[in-house]
Amino acid sequence: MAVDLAIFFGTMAVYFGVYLILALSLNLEYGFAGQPDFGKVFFFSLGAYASGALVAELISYLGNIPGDIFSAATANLRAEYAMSNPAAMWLVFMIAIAVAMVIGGVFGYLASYPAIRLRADYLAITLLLTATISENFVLSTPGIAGGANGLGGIPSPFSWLTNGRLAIGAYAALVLAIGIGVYFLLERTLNSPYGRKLKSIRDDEAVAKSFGKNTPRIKAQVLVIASAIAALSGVLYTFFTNYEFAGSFTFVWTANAWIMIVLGGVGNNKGALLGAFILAALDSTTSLAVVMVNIPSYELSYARNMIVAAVLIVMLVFRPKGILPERSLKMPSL
Amino acid sequence: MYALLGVSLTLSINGAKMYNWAHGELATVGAYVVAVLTTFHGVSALIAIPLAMLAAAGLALAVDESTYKPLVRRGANSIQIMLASIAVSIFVRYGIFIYAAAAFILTIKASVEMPVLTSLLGVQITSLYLWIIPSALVTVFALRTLLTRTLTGKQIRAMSDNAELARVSGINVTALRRNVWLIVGVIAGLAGAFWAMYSFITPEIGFDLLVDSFAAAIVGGLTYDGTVIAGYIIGLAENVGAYLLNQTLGVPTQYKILITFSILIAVLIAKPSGLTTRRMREL
Repeated sequence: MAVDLAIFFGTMAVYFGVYLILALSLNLEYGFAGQPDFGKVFFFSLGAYASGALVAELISYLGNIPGDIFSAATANLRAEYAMSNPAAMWLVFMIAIAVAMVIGGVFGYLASYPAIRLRADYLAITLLLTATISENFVLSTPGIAGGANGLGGIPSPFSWLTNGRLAIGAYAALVLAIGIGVYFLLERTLNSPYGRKLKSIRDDEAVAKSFGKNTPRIKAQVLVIASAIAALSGVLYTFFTNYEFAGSFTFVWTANAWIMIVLGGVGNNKGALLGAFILAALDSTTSLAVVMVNIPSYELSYARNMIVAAVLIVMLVFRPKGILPERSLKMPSL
Repeated sequence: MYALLGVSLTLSINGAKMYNWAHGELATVGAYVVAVLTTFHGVSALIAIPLAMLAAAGLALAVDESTYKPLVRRGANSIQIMLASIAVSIFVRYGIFIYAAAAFILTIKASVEMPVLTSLLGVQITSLYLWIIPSALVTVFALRTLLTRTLTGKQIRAMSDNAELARVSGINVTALRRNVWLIVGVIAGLAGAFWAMYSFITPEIGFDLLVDSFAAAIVGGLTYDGTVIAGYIIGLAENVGAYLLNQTLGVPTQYKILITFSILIAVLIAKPSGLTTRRMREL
């Protein structure tokens, strides 16, 4: 079967962008501020849920589509509406990003409550359990994301491009642009006194405190910012898949984020960039293999998760600092 | 059931000084061994259960030798080890997924015929309960005796207090650690084996059960008695609480996991050290 290269590389670019933003967010939390966020998928899924139901409601309102937003019929109507109303779709897209980031930030702030009070390993367990339980909760609450059926009809803002390849390419370019934007923004922030403040908290909180840094406040700030960024990544992912399903936001997403920064380099955003690229390449290759080899696609996705886990173990055992280890601080020469 | 999984989890947390997220997978392996052997090979449960315990213990040992031990030796921090155990968990879980999907046994139950003894409140009490409940209690009690009354138990407790000090006192820490993993694997495998006879299992069963077991271990304060008590509290609160809420307020029973979660959050905020703390009197 022939593989459309434009769609292949477009998809890979979208995944790269989504992964990059997710990895940067985790690197900010763990690599720089030392907060082990094992509930990353929770903040990522918040973006997806927020964009999902909100987008469906907004389009139904703008396009006068009556009926249940979770039914397949209205999902098709929404997709049709998106094809003929590019301006409205862009508005919806922007609103979704803004709302999702605010929601992500709010939950990040809530997460900072245990984060400030608990030891790092207890925090990791609490966030992991939160993520697992919220996945169960949303899955059994049809009102949030369609429960076990999921929610379809979340059209890409480029739906009006009738050429499917062009639409994917344009969306890929958009996601990449946002990803690179987040990258440079964080690089600037982290190479400033603020970044050094974060690292000082990570390396020794007592010392940072004794130098007059308000460590609980800074930790809360980091969680708010990182969670908002993770939610942004979730929005971009949902507008690409056009569909959301709580059951898909499993722990594997958290593992994805961790593998990227452990593979690339903890505390180094270039490493996050590299990790995101490798993971996106792996995913695209897996999806390519689905087409090429005569194996059921679910078996390959299981195998893909096994590969990711195996790489993570090997990296942790043999090269815990990643391919690109953290650089020493850029300081003006004295 | 939570008690079995919970005490073995507590043992690995205390004995090996790590939060083992792959613990649930030990139970999954045990569950699948029993389910597959009894269903497809006509093996009697009395033979299948020890085999399941053996398989889980073997897995626990293999994972420790191949992954955790090199990490500990390199001086990895607790977050890195926890991350490695999560990776192990995903690796094993999806390995079982591949096998189960290929054999079309993504959901399976051990075919062990159990006569129905009596019916209470619409729940059928089979003789399975007569097996599981005493076995669980005996196991928990045996572990307790092992830890408090034998030399090995003393050594394990010494190691969990201070591994370095235990080593210089002449305890073979490496061999002891191996024993800890063997015990952990045996108990987790037993829990999984029981679960396979009690209800339908999927490759994710271990992880699902682990969420509650972790909650039990933390709520209980990482002591063995505390974990058992917390395990029963959580198990009861989840099932009875969900039933009551469903009857009075019409809350769907799927939300029962939220009860566990609320208990966990409440305990973490009010008393982060858990309901019981380790007393120093046994020193």
